[in-house]
Amino acid sequence: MKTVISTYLSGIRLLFFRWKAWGVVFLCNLIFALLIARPFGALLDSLGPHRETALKGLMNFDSDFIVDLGNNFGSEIGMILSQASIFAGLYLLLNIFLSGGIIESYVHLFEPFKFSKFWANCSKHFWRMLRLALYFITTQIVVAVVLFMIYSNLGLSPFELESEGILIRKTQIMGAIFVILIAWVDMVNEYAKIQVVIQSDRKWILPILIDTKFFCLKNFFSILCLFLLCTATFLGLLGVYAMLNNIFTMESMSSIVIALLVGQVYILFRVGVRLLFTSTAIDYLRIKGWGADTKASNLF
Amino acid sequence: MAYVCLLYEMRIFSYFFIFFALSQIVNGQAPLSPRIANYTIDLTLDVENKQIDAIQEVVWKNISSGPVNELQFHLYYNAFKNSESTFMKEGSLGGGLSSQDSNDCNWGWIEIQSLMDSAGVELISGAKYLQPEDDNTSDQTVLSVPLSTPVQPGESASFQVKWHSQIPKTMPRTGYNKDYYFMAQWFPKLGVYEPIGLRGATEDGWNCHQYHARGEYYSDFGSYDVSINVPSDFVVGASGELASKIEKGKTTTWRYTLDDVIDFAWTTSPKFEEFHRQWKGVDIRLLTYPEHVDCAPRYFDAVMAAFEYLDEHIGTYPYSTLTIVDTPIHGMFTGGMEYPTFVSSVSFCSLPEGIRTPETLVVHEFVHQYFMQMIATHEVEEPWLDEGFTTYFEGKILDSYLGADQSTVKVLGLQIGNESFNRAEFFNNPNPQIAPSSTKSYNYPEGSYGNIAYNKTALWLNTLEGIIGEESMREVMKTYFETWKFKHPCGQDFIDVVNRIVAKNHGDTFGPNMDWFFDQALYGTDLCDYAVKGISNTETMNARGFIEDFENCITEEEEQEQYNSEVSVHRLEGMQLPIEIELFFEDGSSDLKFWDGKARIHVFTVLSNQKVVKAVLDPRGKLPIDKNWLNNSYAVEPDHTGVRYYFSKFFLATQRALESLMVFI
Repeated sequence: MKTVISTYLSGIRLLFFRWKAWGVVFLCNLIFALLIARPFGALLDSLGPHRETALKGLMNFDSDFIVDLGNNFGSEIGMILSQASIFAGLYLLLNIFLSGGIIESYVHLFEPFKFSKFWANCSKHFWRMLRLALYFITTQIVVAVVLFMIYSNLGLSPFELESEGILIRKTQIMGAIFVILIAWVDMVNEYAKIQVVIQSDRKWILPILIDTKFFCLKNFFSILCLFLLCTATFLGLLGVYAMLNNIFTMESMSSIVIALLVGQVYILFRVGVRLLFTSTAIDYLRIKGWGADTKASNLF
Repeated sequence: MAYVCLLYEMRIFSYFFIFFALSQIVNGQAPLSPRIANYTIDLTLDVENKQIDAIQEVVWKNISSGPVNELQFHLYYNAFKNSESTFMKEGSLGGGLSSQDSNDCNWGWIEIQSLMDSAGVELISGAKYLQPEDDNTSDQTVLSVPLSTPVQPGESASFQVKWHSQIPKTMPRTGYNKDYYFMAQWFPKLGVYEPIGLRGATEDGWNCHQYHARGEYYSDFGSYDVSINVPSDFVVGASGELASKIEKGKTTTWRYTLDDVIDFAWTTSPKFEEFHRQWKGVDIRLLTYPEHVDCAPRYFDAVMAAFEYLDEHIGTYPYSTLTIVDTPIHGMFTGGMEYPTFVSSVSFCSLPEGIRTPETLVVHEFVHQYFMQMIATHEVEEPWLDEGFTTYFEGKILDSYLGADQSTVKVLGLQIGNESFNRAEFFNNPNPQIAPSSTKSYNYPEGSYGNIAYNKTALWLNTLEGIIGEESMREVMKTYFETWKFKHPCGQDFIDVVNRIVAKNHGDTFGPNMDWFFDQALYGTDLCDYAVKGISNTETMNARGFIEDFENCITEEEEQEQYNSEVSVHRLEGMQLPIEIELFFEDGSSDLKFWDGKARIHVFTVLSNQKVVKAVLDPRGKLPIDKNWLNNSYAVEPDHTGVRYYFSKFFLATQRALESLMVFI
């Protein structure tokens, strides 16, 4: 447990030490969010500023406003959503691209952070990271589909149920199994990403994946504790932001600006916590000599 | 043996007839309704085979001016006999059976084994099925029975019907599932013999529609005396009052009686839990399943609010009971239905209070006790008269009980009022102009019945209220109820009441009558959209020189600033409604103006020393039928606060969503 906590703290230090990598990820989030949100802002600009009814709707949740917006600007909103889904896909790709550079910068701790090196590493690992991402996306989809098939074959037709309590219990059980499996997949994914980077001389990533699974099984308790600590940090952050959100009511231009800034700090930390999963995993692997039989151990 | 049986049945039949006649005399009170079709039914539920055996006595009165030589019965259960009935062919409701368990035979039917008149003549041999609407010969939901002796005008005739039925596994509105039974439109029920003049009828005749997937019922008023024999561990709930409960071995007979109603329904299950509450002498009984008992206070509180509201705004509830059935999950096809003094609703365990489904359903179905039961309109031919009115009052009651902005949903920061919900439902229809509100239920194109018969009607009733005023609308509804309770009015009868009250209260403010409104809202399909297009303020020169007399010369230095302000409003859709516009001046004052709303473009011109800075059409939201409120106002100076707020919210939500996507890689 002592190792877990010291690894967690080292992970945090590593995160701040490589603040430039953190900044890049945050900046990407900011730019893509702007790209997605701007057309919606333009739509609001076209109908809002001169319309009192619209303004009333904007300042409170007003279902009439939402209904009228949907009814009268449905095609525009549809277009904005289609565009947003394309940007979301590109954002995923960009983050897969960045992950190689980030991991390299975390691994080579004693090298100064240089953007030229960072981008070079991003492109160096991109295809392998993309393949790995596809593995994991497919795994997550398979887990979801299999569980859904099991769930739907449990005799959950409302016409056959004695009471909906059975439905709720089964949903809770299946939900818990889903969360556990996805958490396991995520844990393996985190360590596999690092191994794919440090074992860049191995052509195939499937053997690396299998090795990583065994590594995770072998060190399950520590890895789970680290994962739970990072998850708890994430949940804590959510809680803090929820509290702050209740304090700031957006009623004037200045309060909107403050809320927006607080929101940016929140997103920055959220991105940071996401990177914390990686940084703690790297630190743990470093302690464990980069995994049981990894060929990359001689790198350091 | 057959002869002995016949004599025995004739004796029961005579007893019933004497009982019925005596009850009319002894009762002393004048009946509330004409009591044209009266039923005494003795039935036994076979829970093993899901069947019913019954002996039914019918006393029917001919109120027309000519003899009647046939009877027409609804045999609703034959709609579930096979996939070829009109009910099953229309729409996707046929999927109801397959969605349950297509391997089992879940169909239902009803068979009349014998139908005799008071002289003991068997009439069933001459009976034939009718298909008045679609010539679908496979449809057996209307049975015509020729009489051996015509029923003369003003006379009553009695008949004895022996019948047998197979209960379907829960279909919409009726059926069984597991040990839950919801028995609605379950017995051979007479159609309505409409004399000339009733609802615009031009000749005497039976009005007896086939059973359609969309649309409900139309029946005559009468008295019901129903004895229900079920296993002793079953609890029975039914229309009316429990007259007696007699246990004989493993079977218990629950006898319910009820006068001056148009139908009778009942339910039974061994798992029902029972709760009671009183409202001014009315026993409100809730039958619910154990997992739903948490919802009991919600049902009672909501229905009590409905009792209070309707008692004050419409009229007195004249019956002594109301039974609410909260269906189990396996019986939810039967939830949300209305029968005299008997309604069903749907709830789920752990349902958040902010999701108002139980309240909405129970209030809606209770309002049907007025608009469907006491005012017995034709639910098939004019569904707007019951469903539209009920949706309108459902909104009124829930708004006053729960708050107008949260009467439908209040959960996780999301608030939706009843009127917003109606607007969303109607305007989100892919084609809200697909049919007028006056359409017969079975003629509605797929997917439009609810949006138009329910939501659109409620919206234009609210719009009518906005135009003629709340007080006048209240008087219209009260007068309509007092004039037509325990009768069969049609749409024109309601319009006549509106025209009368509006003429009395408003003279010719809205024209010689309100037909122009109904032509658009009820019989038309045009939409309504008014918009403020712009405001211009032009500085004008005052008149100078000797204006009022020959001594005072007004010079340029003395003149005040003056503006010629023009506010341009457009009618973007076909519907023409009178509308208010409020003009706001730069000193904060305002001026309310009125526009008849007929022209496509209208320009309000104001000469004032203040600029017009803002114009708001329909500032009090009197026209909820207006499909776009976003364009109802215009301000000269833009205010970006709202836009920035919403953009910030959306932007932050996008950032969070993007960040959450990272979980996948």
